[in-house]
Amino acid sequence: MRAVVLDGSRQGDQTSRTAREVLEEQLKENGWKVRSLLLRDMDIRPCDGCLRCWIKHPGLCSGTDQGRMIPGLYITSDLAVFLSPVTFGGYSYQLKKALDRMIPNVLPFFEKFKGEIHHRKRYDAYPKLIAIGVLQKPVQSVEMIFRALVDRNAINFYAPAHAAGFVYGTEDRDTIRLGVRTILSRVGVMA
Amino acid sequence: MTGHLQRVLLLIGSPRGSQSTSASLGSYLLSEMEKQGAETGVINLYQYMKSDVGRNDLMDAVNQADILVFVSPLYIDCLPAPVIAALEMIRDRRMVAQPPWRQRLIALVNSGFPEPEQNTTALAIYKQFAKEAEFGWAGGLAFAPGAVINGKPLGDAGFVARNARKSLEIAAGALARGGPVPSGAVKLADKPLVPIWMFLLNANRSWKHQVKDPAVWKEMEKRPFRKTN
Repeated sequence: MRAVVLDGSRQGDQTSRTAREVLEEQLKENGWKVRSLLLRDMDIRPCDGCLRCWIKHPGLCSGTDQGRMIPGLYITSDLAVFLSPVTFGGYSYQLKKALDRMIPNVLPFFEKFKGEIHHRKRYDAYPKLIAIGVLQKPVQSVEMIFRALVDRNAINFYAPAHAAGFVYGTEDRDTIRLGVRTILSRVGVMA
Repeated sequence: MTGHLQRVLLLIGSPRGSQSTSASLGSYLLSEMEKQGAETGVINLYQYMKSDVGRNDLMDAVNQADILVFVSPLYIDCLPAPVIAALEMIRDRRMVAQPPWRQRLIALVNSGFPEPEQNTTALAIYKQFAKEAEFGWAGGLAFAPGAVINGKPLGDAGFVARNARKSLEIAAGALARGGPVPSGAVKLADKPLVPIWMFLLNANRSWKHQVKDPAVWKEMEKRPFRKTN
């Protein structure tokens, strides 16, 4: 089983680093192959909305930077993890620049799915999705936005299971480990 | 327009810049505010966020405005990455210094999906940004689906854009009076421009016109990646 971790943390963010380390440890202990991408160190340019991934060479981004590999890494995984400082209730720029590059994984055509209009699937199977939001301390209002965003992403990314959770700057390593374990268990990755 | 002459800054967060549907929507609001005496300016966030000079110019423009109008497409259920980068920078710099007068912010979201619920998180993120960056939240409007407008000036977009135009006219009037975006403007923006069945038919057919090469059309559902163990 393969997992891809998209780490959208900022330089010097120790809580995100701890969360990624304990996440990798727990997945590997359970037999997962883990590929972590520290997005701030990668050459990933923003999606320019050219739509060539739909109308010129279907399924492939025409960019020449490292963002080109994001859709393939995502779709060939069994689990995708979004790790990000909670930014106005959403994702950081670093994570979002990678997520915006994933539209080749769906088709341009629309259909009704779960009562709403969405882009149709390109692939038969999509990975489970978990999102770990990093906050200095609990803030209910932004956590609600973050959970709603992950719920919506799970629909558009056709995730067979998904969960969102939080780690806090006030927590020690053992508490963060427990938090990450709880999030993983929600999508059936761990007992 | 009540009070002093208001300076309104439109911040376009689309990679298509002035050719985008986002620009069509924002420009229409700006023109309505100009009719009421506002002084207006336009910034393309994708361009300005590319350099230190651009980022500084962006902050100067933000610091001179009374009303900021953010407009962007819906990307993966929220804002495009460069818009998030701009919001992060504006918030961080305003924590150091900001103008002494109360600045207000309105957000417009241009979505490819007909259901207004799909824009809720994007508008919530703009609202949270307004709170953290200490702007007064004047409200948000989500327009669906923007593809029907396809970058045309809203005034030239005909009957299908009537609700969008009316919504923006109502919003401009309310902003000029110092108030928030009224619920009537929100309801009009939320109305699908065309019935859902017509949207599905037209949107799916439209790709056939955009794909010029018949060989590409045959491969539209190609799956270039395969799982390996």
